[in-house]
Amino acid sequence: MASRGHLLVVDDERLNRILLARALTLQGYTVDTAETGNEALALLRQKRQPAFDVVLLDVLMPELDGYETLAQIKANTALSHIPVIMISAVDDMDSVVRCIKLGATDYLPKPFNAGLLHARISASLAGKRLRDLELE
Amino acid sequence: LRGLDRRGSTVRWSHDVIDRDALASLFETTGNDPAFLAELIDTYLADSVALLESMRQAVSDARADELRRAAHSLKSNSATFGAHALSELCRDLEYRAKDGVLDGAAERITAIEDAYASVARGLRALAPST
Repeated sequence: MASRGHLLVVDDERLNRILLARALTLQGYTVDTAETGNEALALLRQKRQPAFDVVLLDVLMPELDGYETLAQIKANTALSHIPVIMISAVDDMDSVVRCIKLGATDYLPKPFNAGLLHARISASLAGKRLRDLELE
Repeated sequence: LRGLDRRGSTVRWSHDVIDRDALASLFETTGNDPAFLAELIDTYLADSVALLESMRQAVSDARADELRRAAHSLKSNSATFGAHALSELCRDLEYRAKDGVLDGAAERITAIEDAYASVARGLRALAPST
């Protein structure tokens, strides 16, 4: 079966990386993972590998947190078109608003609901593919 | 997995410190694979011990930011396994640490350790490999 899309999961907790990679692979996505914001940015900037379609980004991480990682993605013209879905157990509204203002496509809670996650990723992929078609 | 009784799509869990519906949902989300769930439980238990140590160290070093991060991680990981009472205790500690409050943190960590011990016993009873 062809992949539904290429996802990058960014989370400092290995339990979350393992869990998200498993659930999303079972849903038909190709998944890579990064442990830190800096590792994610390095993967996103690599030109040799296929481009990522959607980034799933944790908020509370050491060194470069989710806010700063998101800001750097959106400040980079080569990356800013990639939808970024925040997925976090930080459940205060200030965090949600901050991420949306920084350019996040969505903000989902942990523990994640597999059906909701799939629906949000599908919507993000549809938007990105429409944009990609318009640019062709 | 001990304590797991699968009949068709019905899953029954034997320990009350863990929300059976949440754990059944996790089982389904990860492909209804007992071996994978057992590995996931192993990871949770190993990481939890490290996070509890980080909490103690953060209090000793008066590092509220480190305490917040460790409490946040254990809150999130515990909720994933349906350990809601443990998750709530961690949430309380996380928000106090976010405000820079370290008073009473040591006592709260003791309560978290007690709750975690119950959760760990429950999960180990479900997973023979742990």
